Amino acid sequence: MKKIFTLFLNLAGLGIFSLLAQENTENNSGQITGNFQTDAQYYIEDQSIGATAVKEYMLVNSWANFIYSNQNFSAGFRYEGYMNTLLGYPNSGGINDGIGIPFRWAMFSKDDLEITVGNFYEQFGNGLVLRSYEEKMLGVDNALDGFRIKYQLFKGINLTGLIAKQRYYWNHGPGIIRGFDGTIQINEVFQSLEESSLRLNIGGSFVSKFQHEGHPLYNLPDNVAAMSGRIMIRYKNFDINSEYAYKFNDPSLDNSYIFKPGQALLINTSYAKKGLGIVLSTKWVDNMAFRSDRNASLTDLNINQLPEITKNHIYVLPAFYPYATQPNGEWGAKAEIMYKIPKNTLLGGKYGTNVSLNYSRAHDIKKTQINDSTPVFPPASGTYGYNTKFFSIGDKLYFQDINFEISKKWSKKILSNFSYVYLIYNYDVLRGITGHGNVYAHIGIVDMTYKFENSSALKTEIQHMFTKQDEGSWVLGMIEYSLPGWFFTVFDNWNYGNPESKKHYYSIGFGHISGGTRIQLSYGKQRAGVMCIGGVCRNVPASNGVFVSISSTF
Amino acid sequence: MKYIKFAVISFLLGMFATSCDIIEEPYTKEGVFVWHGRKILIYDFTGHKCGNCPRAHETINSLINIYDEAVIPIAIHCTAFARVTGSDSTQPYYYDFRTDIGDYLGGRMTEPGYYGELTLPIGLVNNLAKEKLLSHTAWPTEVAKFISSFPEYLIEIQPEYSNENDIVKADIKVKTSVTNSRKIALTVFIIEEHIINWQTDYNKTPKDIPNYEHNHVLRAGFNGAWGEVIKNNTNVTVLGDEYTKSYSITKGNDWKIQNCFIVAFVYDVDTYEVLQAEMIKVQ
Repeated sequence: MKKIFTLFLNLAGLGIFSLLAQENTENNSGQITGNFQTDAQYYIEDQSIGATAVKEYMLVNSWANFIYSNQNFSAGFRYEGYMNTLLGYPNSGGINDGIGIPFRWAMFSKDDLEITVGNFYEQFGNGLVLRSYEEKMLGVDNALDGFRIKYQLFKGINLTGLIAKQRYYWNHGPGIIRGFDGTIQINEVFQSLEESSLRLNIGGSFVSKFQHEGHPLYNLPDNVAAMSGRIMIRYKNFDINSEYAYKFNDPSLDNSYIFKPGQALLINTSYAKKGLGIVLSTKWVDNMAFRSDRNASLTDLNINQLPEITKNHIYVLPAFYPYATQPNGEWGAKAEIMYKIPKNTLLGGKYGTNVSLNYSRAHDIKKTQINDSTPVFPPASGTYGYNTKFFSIGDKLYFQDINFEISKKWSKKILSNFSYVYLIYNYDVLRGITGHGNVYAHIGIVDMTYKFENSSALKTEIQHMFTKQDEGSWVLGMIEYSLPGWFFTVFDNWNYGNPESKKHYYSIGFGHISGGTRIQLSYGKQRAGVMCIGGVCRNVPASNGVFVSISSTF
Repeated sequence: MKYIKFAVISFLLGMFATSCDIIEEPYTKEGVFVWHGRKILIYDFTGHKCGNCPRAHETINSLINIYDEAVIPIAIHCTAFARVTGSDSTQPYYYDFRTDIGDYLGGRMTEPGYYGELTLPIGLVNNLAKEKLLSHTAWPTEVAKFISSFPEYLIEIQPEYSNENDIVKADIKVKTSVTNSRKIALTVFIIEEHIINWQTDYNKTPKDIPNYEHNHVLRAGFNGAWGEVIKNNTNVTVLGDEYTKSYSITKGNDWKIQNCFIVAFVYDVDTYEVLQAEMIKVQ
C-alpha cells in the first residue's frame, strides 16, 4: 500500500509539473540575480585567551546564490565552500568541510498554483511544527529537498503540501518529512467581512516524519506526527496571534527516548498606536524537540523551531548571556512597552524621546514521576517519561531579563541611546553543564553618535557589565567613524573583573561599502562564548586573528 | 484545469493522510536488557575451605560478563569454611580472609552470625533481609529482576589514600533520583581484588588450589555492617536532594592498596532493599 501511495505521489507531482511546463510557451530571456559572500579568518594562537591556530592558517566560509527568473518560472542554486569551516560552526569530524552545490531548485507558478522542486525553505505558522530555514551566522541550514505545492483553493484559502528530506551538511538526513498546511483568511473568504475592523485568520498544520525504527531496545514509531492550530485576531489596535501544537510519541536523543507526547503553546498579543506599543507574550513548551533524525543533536536536522520570546540584545555585553530555547520543557513570558515621549515637552525635547521597558522570564515546567520508582530526571529511557500539567510552571528559573532603553535625538547632530540591563542566567541549564550556578549581571550602556557636516559620523559606545559570577565584570569601549562608503572601528573589551586573568579583547577594523558590495577587514581577539539567534545557539571559540568579509549582490 | 485541481488537492491531502504510529506499552522490545544505571549488590558468603564456593564465584563471573559494572559483588569469608590452619605461610589455608563484619554477618567457626547458620555457598542479591538468602543458582534470576529498574539514588565516591599514614578516606555523596519517603542507610566497605591464595574446589583434582584468585574480598567496613542511617522516613526526599558523608579507616598491613576498591551502597532500612551501589578504585 505504501508503494502504491508513493507511486501516486510521484505521478501526481511530475504530471502536474509537466502539464504546466507545456503551457509555458512564451519565450523570454528572463533575468539572473544573485549574491556572494565570503568570510575568512586567519587564526593566531593566543594562549592568554585560549585561542588556537589552525593547520590551514586560514579558514574560509563562502557561498553564492544564482537565481534565474523568467515570468512564472524561476530556478537557482547556491554554490557553497567551506575550506575549511570557520571554527565554532557546526563541523563535527569535518562533516561541513568541502565544496559543492547543496541547494538547487526550480519553481513554477501558474494561476493559483505554485510548484517547487529541489531545495526550499518553508514555515508553517509560527514554526512550532515546521520551520525550515537558513542562518549562516549559526551555521544552520535545515533546507528541505523534495517537492512542494502551494495552492490557493479559493480566495483567502491557501494550502501547502510538501514531501522532502532535510539537508544534513552535504547529504540528507535519514528521515522523510511530509507536511500540510492550510490558512483561511476569513475576511477574504466572506465578502461581507472584507471591510470589517475585525480581522481573523485561522490555520492548521500537520507534519509527519518517517524514519525506519531499527532500534535494538525500544519499539520506536517509524512515523511521528505533529500538528498545530493557530489563530490570528486583529481588531483596530489590538492583535492576538496564538498557536497550539501537539506532537505524538517521539522517543529521541533529545528526550532520552521517552514516549510522552509533546505540546507547545505560544501567545503573542500587542497593542499599537502612534507613540505607544505594548507587547505581551507567553509560551509553554513540553517535549517538543522534533527532528528528522531521532539521533541528531545540537542544531542538526530540526524540523521545527520554538520561537524565543526573550529579547535578542544587539549590544555586545548583554549578548554574552543569551537565552537558549529548552525544547524539553520551558515556560516563558515577556512584557514590553515602547513609548515615544512627544516632542516639544519637558522630557521629549525638540525631537521626542523613545523609551522602552522590556521584561522576560523563563522557568522550567513542573514534572512529576509516573510511578514511585521511575525518576523524572534524568528522564527514564524506554518509559512514558513523566507527567506534567498543561501550562504548569516549575520553580527553577532559567532566565530573566529586565532592560530599559532611552533613545534620544538631542539635535540634528547628536543622537544617543542609554540602556540598562539586568540579567539572571541559569548557566547550568542554558549551557548544559553542572556546578556553575546562576550569573547575575548588571549592564549599563551609553551609545552616542555625532554627525558631522560632511555626512560623516562618530559613534562611541561605552558598556559596563558588573557581575561576580562567571568571568567577572567587563567594560567595553568602542569608537566608530563612518563617512560615505567607509567605516573605521576600534574597540576594547576588558575583562577587568576576572579573578584569574584580566584579559583585553581588542579589535580594529575598517570597511568599504559601494553599491551592493561590502568589504570588511579587521584584526582582533574574540572571547569564547555562545551565540544565539532565535533561541538557537552555537558555541563561539576564543580567537585571535585577522577577519575578512566580502559580500556582494547583483 | 479541473484535473490539475483535483490532483493538487489529492496530493495535499495525501500529505495530510500520512500519519503517525502510536506506540503503547511495553515500549521495550521483548527479551532485551535495558540498564538505567542501577547497580546490583551481591553478598557472596564464602570460605576458602568451601569446595562448592568456586561455583558461586563462577556465577558471579558470568554475571559480570553479562552486566559488567552493573554488578558489584562482595565476597564475605565466614563460617568454619573460612578457618585458618595457622600462621605458617608455607602451609595451605594459612591466610585469614575473615573480618569483623564477616564474622558478625555470616558467623565465625561454628558460632552463627546475624544470618544464622549458613550453608555455603549462599548469598544475597540486592536485599539484605534474612529471608532473602539465595543459592547462587538463583542469583541470575534475582539480578534480572532489578537490573532494568531505575536507581532511586546516585552515589558518588571520592576516594583518597595517604601513603604516609596508610589512611583510606572516602567522601560519599548520595543524590536523590526519585522522590521518596524511605528511611535509608549508607554502608561503605573496602574490598580487594586479585588475592592469590589457597582455595578448595571440589571440581578440581587435586581439590586444593594453591594459586586461586580471590576477588571482591571484603576487607573492612568504614561504618559498620549496617552503615549509618542518613534519612528517616518522616522526610520526603525530592529529586536532587543530596547527603554527604566522609569516612576513613587505616589500611590493613596485608592489603595491596592498588587492588582495593571502595564500595558504597544505600538500602531501605525497613525493607532491606539495596537501592543503589557504587564502587571505585582507591587509587
